[in-house]
Amino acid sequence: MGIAFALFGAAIAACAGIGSAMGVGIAGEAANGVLAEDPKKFGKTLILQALPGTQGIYGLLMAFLIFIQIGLLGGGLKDITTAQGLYVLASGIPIGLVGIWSGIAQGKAAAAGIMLLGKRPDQMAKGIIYAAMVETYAIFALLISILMLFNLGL
Amino acid sequence: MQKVAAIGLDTIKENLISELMDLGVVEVTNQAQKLVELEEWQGLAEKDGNEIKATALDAELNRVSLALETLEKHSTAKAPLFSTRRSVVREDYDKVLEDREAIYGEMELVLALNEELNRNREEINKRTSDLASLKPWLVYDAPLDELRTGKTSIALGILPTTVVLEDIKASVTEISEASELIEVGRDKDLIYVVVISMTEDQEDVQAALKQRGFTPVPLEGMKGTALENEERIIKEIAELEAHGKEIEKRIDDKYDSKERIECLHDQIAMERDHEKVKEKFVKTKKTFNFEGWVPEPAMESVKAVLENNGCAYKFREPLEDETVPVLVQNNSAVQPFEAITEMYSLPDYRGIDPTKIFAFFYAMFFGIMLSDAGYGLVITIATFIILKKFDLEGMMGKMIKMFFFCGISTVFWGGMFGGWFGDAIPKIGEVFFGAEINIDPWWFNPIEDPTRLLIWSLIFGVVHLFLGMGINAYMLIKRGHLFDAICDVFSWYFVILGAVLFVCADMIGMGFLSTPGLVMALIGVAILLFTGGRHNKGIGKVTGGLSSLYDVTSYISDILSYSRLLALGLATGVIAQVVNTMGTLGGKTVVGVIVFVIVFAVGHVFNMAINALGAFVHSSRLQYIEFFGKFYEDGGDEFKPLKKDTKYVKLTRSVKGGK
Repeated sequence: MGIAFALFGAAIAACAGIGSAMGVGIAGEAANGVLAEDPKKFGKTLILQALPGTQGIYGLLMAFLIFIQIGLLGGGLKDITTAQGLYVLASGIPIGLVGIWSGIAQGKAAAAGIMLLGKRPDQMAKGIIYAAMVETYAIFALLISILMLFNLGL
Repeated sequence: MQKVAAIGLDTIKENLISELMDLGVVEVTNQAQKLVELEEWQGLAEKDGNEIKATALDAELNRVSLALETLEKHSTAKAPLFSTRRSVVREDYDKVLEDREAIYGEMELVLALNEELNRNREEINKRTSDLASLKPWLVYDAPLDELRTGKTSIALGILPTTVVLEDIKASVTEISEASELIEVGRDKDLIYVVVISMTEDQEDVQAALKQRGFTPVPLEGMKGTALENEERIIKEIAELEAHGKEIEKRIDDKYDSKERIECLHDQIAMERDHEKVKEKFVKTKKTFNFEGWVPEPAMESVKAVLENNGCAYKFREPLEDETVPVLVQNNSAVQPFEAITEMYSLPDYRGIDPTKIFAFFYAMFFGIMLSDAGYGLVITIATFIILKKFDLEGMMGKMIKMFFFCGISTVFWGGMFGGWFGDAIPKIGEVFFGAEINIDPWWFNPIEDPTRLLIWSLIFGVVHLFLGMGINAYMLIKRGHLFDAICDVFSWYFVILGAVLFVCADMIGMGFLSTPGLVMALIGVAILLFTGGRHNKGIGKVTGGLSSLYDVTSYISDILSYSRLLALGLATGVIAQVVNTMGTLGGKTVVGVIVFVIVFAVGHVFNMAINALGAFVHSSRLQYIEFFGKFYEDGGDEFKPLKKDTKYVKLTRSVKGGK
């Protein structure tokens, strides 16, 4: 039972990928628009498009950390009580939830950054920074998730 | 920066501008503007420069650029990864340009070919659209050009799909018994119809049809049936395409003239700049006058040039309210990090260039966030090879050099945390050789103890922030505001340091420090409370103190922001481990090894790329938001000297090289 809850936690953490998928998609649409006018900007738009991808990576990271903690990877599942399983489940929630919305929001910011890149290529760095501001909260959520998981004493 | 003003004789003007361009250290300011703005200047002199000539040179430059673009586009030669300026010895350059007319000839030839190619493309487009308009008529097998027999006339046309065809058919027969409307085909929007009628009734029939939305389709110039025409057009398109290929090949054959045309391009660009700068001069009948900014170290060489040309000149310090351009100068280790400063915004002329202060932290944070020695080695070696192979200049050169340093830092921190392509080496040892190899981190492994790295991240953050606040205090003191420095900066040092001591003293086993910590923090809070409202009046003096104390939230969020060092560092490490685990799933078989090699290469390249991007962005962010926010005064204008601003060739003086 404990294992089931723990895996459920990993699944929730991996849901951060929803946010990234939507965010990268939003940014990609904007990038296509800019590229239609100047195909040379491909590399630069790609950088901005990749930014909302990190939430998915954080989700993946958290899911794998849970796997490692419960011994799913590399031999022998640990004996986990239902309570411990619920703890692990709780630790997956912050990055899972925050990842979804911060990914979408970052995608929008990145799309606006790509528009900025289309009009004022010299200001690209600022567009990147604006988009990266959003990510801060995904990082905080990941941090909380990690601290929760590692201080359970599994 | 120094402002130089010079007056000289008209006869030496051209020579002086050329020499200043060679020097490349004077930014000429717009003196001509004074003629409009200042009353006492009016009537004294007039604006110099020949706009018509400058515009003509601009137009010429555009043509040359177009020719070069054409050559580039259709060349089969492989473009290098980075475009750099070629080094050309002055004598060779002059020799190439001796026969300027010949280069113009080659350029015109390329442009003519480009023109021909465009025309060819237009022809193909025209035929393609003909083909599309012919398509619905393919089933109509009478000749398209025979629209008349002895007594009858034929009209081809379209009707919107919104009409009811039966009604129209009926109305056509109503007008004349011998008329008929036949549907040839239809698509989503249109019905294609043929109308046959007696020649004498034709006008009446058509008039009636037009009311119903009929539009005749003239398929002019088509002889024979639609099918025959289609065949003919397809053949023509193939011929035209072959012709286009041939033109492209002829353009490619001209590729060897590219270097000469590039020289021409740069020559015209320099002539244009030479001409344009004169628009900023003022002149009288026999003399000219200009002003400009000169960086202090270059003053002597500018003086020498002005003396040699017999100019009257004067240097002066910039005035209080003048906008002075900014030239940042740093030693070669720090200089690449100017790219980060430039991306944000240059420092104000009277502010501080932060590059040399944050360069170390930038590389360090980058290293902690990428945190894999293997990736660090790849970046270091790749950038090193690029730097050896290409003579990169400007922003690109700075960036690559910066990544070289960041790569070294990544190797260091990767070693500290024990990541060499994640846990690749122990994994390979375990799975393929059955041997237990352990690579111990030089410091500790953050995957085993993330809390420890979190605390260290925050400590690094506090050091970084304190440094930024320290610069703020330094500037305040330098400008004579010692009291402000104490109230606004040192008070926070007390609060933060004291609070950290109070909270952490027990954890690190030095409990006796917790009381002094509390006292320190309280002193800081007291200073903030009593002085925060010193610029306000009345009740504001009290609330000001409280609101400045409320800034504690922004300091906390600034410090917590450094936790990204841990998050991004862990992300690299764990994903690298995942890649290795997935790669070794195949076990110790031939297929297993092949799978491993593929997964290893693809997985690690992806992980490195995405995390290097993250490290770059977030290391920048920590400088821009957290560090710069504490002190940075930006908004300076870049120093743009009059120089030989060439795009393709870099002129060197002698055969032996040198700049």
